[in-house]
Amino acid sequence: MKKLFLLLLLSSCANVPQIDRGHLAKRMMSLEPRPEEATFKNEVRAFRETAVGGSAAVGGGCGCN
Amino acid sequence: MVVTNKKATSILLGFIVLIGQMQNAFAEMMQKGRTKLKVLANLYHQNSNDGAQVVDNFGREEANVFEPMIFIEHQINENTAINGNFVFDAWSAASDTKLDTYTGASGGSSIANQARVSGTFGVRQEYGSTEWHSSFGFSSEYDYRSFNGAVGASKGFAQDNFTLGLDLRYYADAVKLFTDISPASTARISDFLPRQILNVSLSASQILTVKDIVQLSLDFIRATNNLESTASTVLVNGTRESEDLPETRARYATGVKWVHGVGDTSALHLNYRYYFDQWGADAHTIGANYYWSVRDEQDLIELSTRFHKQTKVDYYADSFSAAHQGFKTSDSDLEDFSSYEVGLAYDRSLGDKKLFGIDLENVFFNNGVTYANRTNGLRYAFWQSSFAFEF
Repeated sequence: MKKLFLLLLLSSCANVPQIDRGHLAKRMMSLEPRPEEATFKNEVRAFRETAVGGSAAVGGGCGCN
Repeated sequence: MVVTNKKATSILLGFIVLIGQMQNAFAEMMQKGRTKLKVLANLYHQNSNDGAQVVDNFGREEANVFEPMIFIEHQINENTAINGNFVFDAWSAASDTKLDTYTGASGGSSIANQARVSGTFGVRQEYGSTEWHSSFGFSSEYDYRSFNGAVGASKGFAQDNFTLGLDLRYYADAVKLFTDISPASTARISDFLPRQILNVSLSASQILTVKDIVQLSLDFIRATNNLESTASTVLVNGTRESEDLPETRARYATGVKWVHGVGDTSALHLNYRYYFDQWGADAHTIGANYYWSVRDEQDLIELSTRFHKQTKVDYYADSFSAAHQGFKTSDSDLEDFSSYEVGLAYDRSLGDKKLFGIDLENVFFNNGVTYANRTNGLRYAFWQSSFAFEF
């Protein structure tokens, strides 16, 4: 995790210009290509497991103690 | 499923957690006057005979959920969009009536088939590299209700190579809990009792190369008051009692996600999350998704797999002795287990269509299936179909 964080910090100096982001603009490259479907998936996981976080499904609902 | 009641209910109520996420459902700003609409139907089934929390000692956790959702976003001007999400779900569960038969909690009728309504309304604005959003939501059913709000903002730095986001969500909930369940014939359900949940999420994403993005996230969640599940029970020296849990639960999670372009038409998404909480549980979760663009990148195929391993909370046991002092739960969701999940989805572009005289653009028809198996006996699967378009 520390290495990844360092990589993140270092890489922020090596910016990718807007004109070179054609591939990044593709739907498959977005952080969540299927957001609505993923929402349901994440909520099911959040209520069937003790763990939450890392997605928007983090709380609420009478069953989530 | 008394406790299955809890389980199914929790699934249904899960849409509450969407509140904050609705903002991102249609992340791209559209042209002024444009509207996006998506109808998503979720069909869920779970089964198990190992739920130690079920009041009748049979452990059956079977439940079925049908949950249609509508997402809509309308662009007011070039900077501002409003959005809404509406859910009506219906569900049935094998042992829902175990306690309700005695209490008439749902108005004297069986709760084997329930329904819930919820909605979210939000606004989103974008100025240059800064975006903010807020929303308000509600949810209502016979043993649970919620009013909740969310605010959040994100800002891009270094020509949007680095993006920082912060989200705050607050839920003012109320829940009814079964009490006096021993014997079940004297069971009753309480009036609405308050529960509060606060969530703070921090995320940071960085473009590494023309084909790599990484995202880090931190979550803090604090829940207070009446954190027991509706109708969850424990077996104490052969007698069923309601579960008893602390009045607060602080939860922490950190995650990392890496998106890597593989060639020109596919991408690999890898993610990992570590979680721990105040009740003594911790968990490791790793997932991999492979996306493949086909038909000149119009359609999208997704293959996914996920592994989750968690330890039990300090208060969990299958049963308790009469001498046991302190909190206690037998909720199978809070037990020590591993979970394996696989999924397949196909999003099909239909191009532009004319329907009832209305010109629809970017029409999509999507389908997907997910299956999961837990080592403590529970299995679940769900089918998702959606129809989306712009006009």
